[in-house]
This record gives sequence, structure tokens and C-alpha cells, in this order.
Amino acid sequence: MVNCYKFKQQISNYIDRELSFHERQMFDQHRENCPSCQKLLQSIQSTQETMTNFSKVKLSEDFMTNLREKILTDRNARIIASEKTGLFSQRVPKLTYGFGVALLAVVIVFSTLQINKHNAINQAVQPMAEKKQESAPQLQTQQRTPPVIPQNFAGVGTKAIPSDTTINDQDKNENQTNKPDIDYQNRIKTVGDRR
Amino acid sequence: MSENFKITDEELIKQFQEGDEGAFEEIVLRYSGRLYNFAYRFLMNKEEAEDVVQDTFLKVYQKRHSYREIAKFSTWIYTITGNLAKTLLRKQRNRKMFSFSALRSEDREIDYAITHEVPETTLNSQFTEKIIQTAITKLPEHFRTAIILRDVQELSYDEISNIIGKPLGTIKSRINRARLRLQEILEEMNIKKD
Repeated sequence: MVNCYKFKQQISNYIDRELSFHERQMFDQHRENCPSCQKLLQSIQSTQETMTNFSKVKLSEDFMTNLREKILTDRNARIIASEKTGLFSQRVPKLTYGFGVALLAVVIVFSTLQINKHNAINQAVQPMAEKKQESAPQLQTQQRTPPVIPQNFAGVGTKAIPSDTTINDQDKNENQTNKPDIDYQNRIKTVGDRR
Repeated sequence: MSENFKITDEELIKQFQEGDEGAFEEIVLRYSGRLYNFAYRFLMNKEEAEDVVQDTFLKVYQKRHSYREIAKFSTWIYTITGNLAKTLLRKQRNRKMFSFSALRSEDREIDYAITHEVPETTLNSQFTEKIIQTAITKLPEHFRTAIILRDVQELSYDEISNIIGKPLGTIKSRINRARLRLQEILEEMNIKKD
């Protein structure tokens, strides 16, 4: 059952034809029996009709010209504002700084690579030089050192001198300490062989 | 309400986004009248309404790339106009400028009509229109927007819901209350007049 309150709540749905068939029937029933609701519905429908047919107001003739001017003025104002805030004026220095920084970075990277390369060459060359240096003085010292004749030289001819390859591990320490003597003995041996 | 154009509004704005200024002019031609009537019924001042419409198109021009084809173009442009009109109305209220003078300037049109022997029915309808228009300006802002979009601009509930940014149910209820409130205002005005 539709009462006046419900009628008012549903009035727009009725006008806009959004009520179901059953709801519409109930609504019409109340409308026929309630003069105030009937009057309200009529006034709303009449007002709505007037509003739909409101006379159309027309824009002034220079609307389009004014709009174009407005757009142009706005565009110019934006350009000036961006120049003032430095969007354009700061763009060049920013690029310059950027270019400078990039250039500096390239120089640093290049020089670092060069230094690394140089070091690598030095490291490769140094051990060879050191090896040469190590072997050269030994020969000189061996040449310069006067031959020391060991006290047990008398038994050289009778006692066999072991070669380097036949030296036992147990004898290694002894050989290391007596190395100059062994060299000397070897040399004597080779001299003897030549004779 | 909806007119059948070969190119849809959405296609036009796309063309404009791609740099076709002619598409923008077409948009202006399609919408300037509708938006002007909407703004005028809302503000009840022709110059202000025209300013609002110009500002609307200026915004469309500036913000063309922010439009995405998620919403209808008409919804987007009506939203801009509605927001600009509301902002102007609030500024006016703050300055307490509303506006016996504005009403009087519009009344002059009726005086002009009388001197040119307009038929009585037209005169009556002009008078009724003026009364209803005055009553509309007495509605709260949210009622005013909704009822103008529905009963003057004849937009669908869905579209109004998108423009105002409220659910469909809220919009239906708001339009119903706006229509009832408008009748109350009109009755009050008749009583005062009598």
C-alpha cells in the first residue's frame, strides 16, 4: 500500500518510468484517491516540462574570437613564466654541466685504465728482471770467490762424489749447508774429466 | 540529447591529442551551446556563464592529454564546467555579490519583450521560466546541479552520476528531493507574490 510519504519518495521514479508494473498500479491507485499528491505530481511534471523547454540562450558572436585570444594569451603567459623560472635559461648551463661531468668521468676512467695497464706490464716484466738479477750475481760471486780447498780434499780421488740426482733426502740439509763445496767439487770433477 | 555525428566526441579528442587543432574547434562547436545553457541556468548570469564556458574550453585545451577514454567525453567536459561554475558561485557567495542586480539585468529582457508585442502565451511562458529559474537559484548547490543536468540538459542518471561522482542511487534520490524542494520554493514564491 502506498501512502503520501511513499508517494513522494517514488514520484521521480514514476515520472521517469522506472517503476515496475505492480508498483505503478499501486502508485496510480494512491494518486486517484489523494488530491494533494495528484496536485504535487502535476506541478512537478509541469515544472519539468518548462525546464526541458527553457529558451536556449545564445553565446555572444565574438565567443570564438575571445576563446582563441584567451588560449593564445595563456600560451604566451606560460612561455614567459617558464622563461622566468628558468626552464629555458637554465637548460643550457645544465647541459654544459652535464657534458663537463661526463667528460671528466671519461677522462678518469681512461686514465685509470691506462694506469692499470701500465702496472700490469710492470708486474709482468719485473719478475723476469729480478730472476736475471738473482742469477747474474750468483755467477759473479762464484767467479770472484776464491776456490776454497776443503780439508778432506785428500780423499777426493778415492771417494765417489754423488751427483745431484742421486742425493738422498736425508742428505739434503747437509748438501744445502755445504752447497758451495759440492759445486766446487763438481767443477773439479769436470776439470778432471776434461783432462 | 545525444546528437548523431559522423565522428564521435572521443574520436575528436583523440585527434586533438594528436595535434589536430581543427578537432578542437569542432569540439567547441558541439559543446559551447549546451555548456553555456548549463552554466547560465546554474549561475543566472550570461557574462559569467560565458566566462565559465571559455575557461572550460581553455582547460580542455591545456589538459587535453589528461583525458583518458575511460569516461565519456561529455561527462568529462560537463564535470569541468560544473566545477568551474561551483567555484565561481562560491567566490560570489564569499563576496556576497549575489545579486539583485543580476536578476534585474535579466528582467530587462522581459521588459524588452513586452514593448515588442509578444503573444500572451509566450509572455506567460517567459514569466514562468523566469520564476522557475529564480526558484532554481534558491536550491542548495548539490540539488541545483543535479536538477539542471537532469531536467534542463536531459542527461541520463548514469551520466549525471559520473559527472557528480556519486553512486546512481544517491543521484536518483537527490534528483527526487531536488524536484520536491523546487515545488516547495515555487509555492513559497507564489504565496509571497499573492
